Amino acid sequence: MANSASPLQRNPLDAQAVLVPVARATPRVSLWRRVRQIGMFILYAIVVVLFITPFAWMILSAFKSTAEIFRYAYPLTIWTFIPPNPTLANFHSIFFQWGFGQKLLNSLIASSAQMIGTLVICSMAAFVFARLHFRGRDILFAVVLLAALIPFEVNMVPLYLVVRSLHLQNTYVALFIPWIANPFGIFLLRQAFLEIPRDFDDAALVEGASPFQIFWHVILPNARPALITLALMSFLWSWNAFLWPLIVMQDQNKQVIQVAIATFTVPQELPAWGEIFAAASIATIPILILFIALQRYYIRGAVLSGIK
Amino acid sequence: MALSVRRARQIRFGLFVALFLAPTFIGLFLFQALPTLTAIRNSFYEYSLLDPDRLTYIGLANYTRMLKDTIFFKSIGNTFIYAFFKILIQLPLALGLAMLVQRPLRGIGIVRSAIFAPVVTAVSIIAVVWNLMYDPEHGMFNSLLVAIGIGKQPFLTSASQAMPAIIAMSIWQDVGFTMVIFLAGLQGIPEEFYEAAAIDGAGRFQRFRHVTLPLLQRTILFALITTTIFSFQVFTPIYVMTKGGPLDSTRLAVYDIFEQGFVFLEMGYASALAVVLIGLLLIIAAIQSRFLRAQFEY
Repeated sequence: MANSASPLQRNPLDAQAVLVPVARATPRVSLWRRVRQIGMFILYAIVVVLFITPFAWMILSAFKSTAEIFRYAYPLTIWTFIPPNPTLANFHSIFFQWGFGQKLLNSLIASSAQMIGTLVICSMAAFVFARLHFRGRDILFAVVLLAALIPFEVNMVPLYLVVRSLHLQNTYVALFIPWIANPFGIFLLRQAFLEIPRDFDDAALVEGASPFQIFWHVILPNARPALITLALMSFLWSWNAFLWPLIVMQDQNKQVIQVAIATFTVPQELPAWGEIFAAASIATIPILILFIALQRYYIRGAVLSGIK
Repeated sequence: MALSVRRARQIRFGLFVALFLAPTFIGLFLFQALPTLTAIRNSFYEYSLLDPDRLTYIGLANYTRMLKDTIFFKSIGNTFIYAFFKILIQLPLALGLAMLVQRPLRGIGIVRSAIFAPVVTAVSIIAVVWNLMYDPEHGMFNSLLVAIGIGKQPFLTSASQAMPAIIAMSIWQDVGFTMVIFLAGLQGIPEEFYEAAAIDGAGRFQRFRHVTLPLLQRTILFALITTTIFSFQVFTPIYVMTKGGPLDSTRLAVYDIFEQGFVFLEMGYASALAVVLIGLLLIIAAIQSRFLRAQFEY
């Protein structure tokens, strides 16, 4: 920038370089800038608070007893948020009385299986669509994209009937198997594979590599960012899924955490806010950490697909 | 000899392609195509899970029944209201936030991550937590409202406040997603366009009106269509927070289909409702893309 250059280097004809420091020297302008800066800072702070508060309320309340949450709701003080007597009782009771550990394990199994299945199946199909030539290939790819147009909510009733007729209801397999042949995943990986220079394949072909060797040794190692994006997104879809597990899993011992947490709220007997907050925090915090660590991968996928 | 070697290679190649595509196409057939075809077929049948071996062809009876189903009409109406207000507020808000966090300032990443955090959180978790935030007795919102002297509100237990409360929550959750789409769009606008406009004496608002908006038209269309489609698929907050109540004021279309299918076990009628919903969605998406393209052509 002109301002940071030493005066000797300045071109005297460069009006910007001469005028700007002079203009900034007048106190009125710098005061105005300062006020604007503070104003912007406050605006940013308000935005952050608006988006963080529900999370903060959830996590902080997890360390309060339900009675305490109720007692400090009015009047509004810091104890409405901060636990006056922090306790782990809620965590103890969800794990030792409500079997939350099993639900956590169920979610972990379903999400890991969905992630691995998606990566394997989508990368295979994407390789064929990106690299191999045969008649009818583009029509097949169009068919894949067409499948992406059908929203699950429309299919939920008959999909349940299909899964039932395969005798899969109430199995872990039912939780993830419908989603691993994923048109979005194939589209995302195909884009990434197309960006890998063809010279890499040609060099391997000259050495007598088979299509599988090219897929394994050339394409996959060079598409790592896209594979991470898809791994992260498919894990999150599965982890956050609600309607499908609600429909297909009637065996409460195999139910995933999201459904288990939401049905904690249903019984009308005793409100168990503390336990709900503890369970919700455990289901959410690892996901937020994962997102913050890998957010550039996630956001790339979201922008490319228009899918959360 | 040479011919058979070539043939053998061709067969091997064909087998490889088939093997690599088979899982995808078996999966898409079983879990996408077959259910969709089943939905269309079942919509002409009476089929109840209470008596799963009986399938009675009833022609268009499910569709004519729909015409008299005032609750279904209400749920479609509610879905339109939901989608309309959600789009009306969320899109401009997302664009504003995108312009706010676009500047390359130190620490801006924190602001972006905060806005995006609800997007990666499960809808069901957010519905559970907001359900308690909206609690008429002990909820956080009423703590705040009492403190500033407005007084307790019924929120989800009131037929007039439940829908706005759910719309507000879903905007809070999804606005970060739309913001990211707008950020990508804004990055695609060359800086020179703004410089040229500034030299021509265009003010802040004029630059926004005549540079940002026209060049963002494709992004806006994309955001509009995705938000519409998502709005027609809302289920989880309704199930967790209101079960469609009070007085059906928050009954949305997918929740109605779910209830017909999995509470009343009327799979045939639920399929007919689903067929109508997707038809409606396709028509709206087509109108939107046509209308917007015409609007912004210059």
